[in-house]
Amino acid sequence: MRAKPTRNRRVKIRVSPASFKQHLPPPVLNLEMPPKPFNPPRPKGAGVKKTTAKSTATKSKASTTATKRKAAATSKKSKSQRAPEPSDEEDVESNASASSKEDVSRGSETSRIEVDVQEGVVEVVEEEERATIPPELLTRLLHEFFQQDGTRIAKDANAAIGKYVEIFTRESLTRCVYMKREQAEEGGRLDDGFCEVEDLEKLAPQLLLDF
Amino acid sequence: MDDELQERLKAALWYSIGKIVDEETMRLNTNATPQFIGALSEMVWAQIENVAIDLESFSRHAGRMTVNTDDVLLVTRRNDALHGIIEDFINKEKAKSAKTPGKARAKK
Repeated sequence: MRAKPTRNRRVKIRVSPASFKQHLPPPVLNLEMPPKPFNPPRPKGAGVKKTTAKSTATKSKASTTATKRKAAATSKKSKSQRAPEPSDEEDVESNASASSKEDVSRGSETSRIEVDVQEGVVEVVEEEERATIPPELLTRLLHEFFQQDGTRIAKDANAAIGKYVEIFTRESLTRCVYMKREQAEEGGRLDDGFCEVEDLEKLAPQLLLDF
Repeated sequence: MDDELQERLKAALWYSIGKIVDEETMRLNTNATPQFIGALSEMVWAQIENVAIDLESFSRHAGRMTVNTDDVLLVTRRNDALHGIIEDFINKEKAKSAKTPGKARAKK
């Protein structure tokens, strides 16, 4: 049930022009992600969060397709041109290697592909640099906390818990920033740009309920 | 767990959390005090403890000795958004390992 709308949303993000896409990630985080803690009814808040999450997931997928496209584009450029077919972004995403041939055949499309490819490279780098909890450390911690003997943990499950902890950390900081910004707008106190323990204390209860 | 070991594990966790926080503060154009990172590390520590015990219980309830991804998904059952993210992540990882059969075979 959940899978369908997810796919649609992904396509939508990709369809957006390259220039818009470049500017997309920060605003989404700043404006849409934070409202969650202050909207306890889950469906609404959850939806907001999901959008941002999907965009990051999309990113990595897009980057892989982009690199694929790069390879396809370079190999096809030397070959003879095919008849131009009407192809939009959706086609490109769903059938990367096939549609890239069509794109190359159109002069105006070529420049767009190059932009995409460059973005793809940047995104790949970004993805690799993302800090996370070392899996070995997490395994060790989990085993320290297990109460019964002989409990083991699958490798992919360990990675998933790592992601969970990472999201937990990032979410706490994002909520902190948003909370401070809101307080500054209300004029309660000055936003000095520092997240402090006091802020964490305020957001901890809701955060722990959400995780 | 003796105190010395606990201290060392906490230090390791602190370091890792610090790296994530640094990355995120850069992205959000903000700052976090060292005390904030310390307090957050304590929270994460407690959260991992809770999650570990939950995961163990879930896997035992399913008649298993090994925690697998289904148990992790069950941990996130209350938060639909989080459930979706983790589900995506697991599927992505699965697809990745399926694409590199050499590695998967080597694991066996």
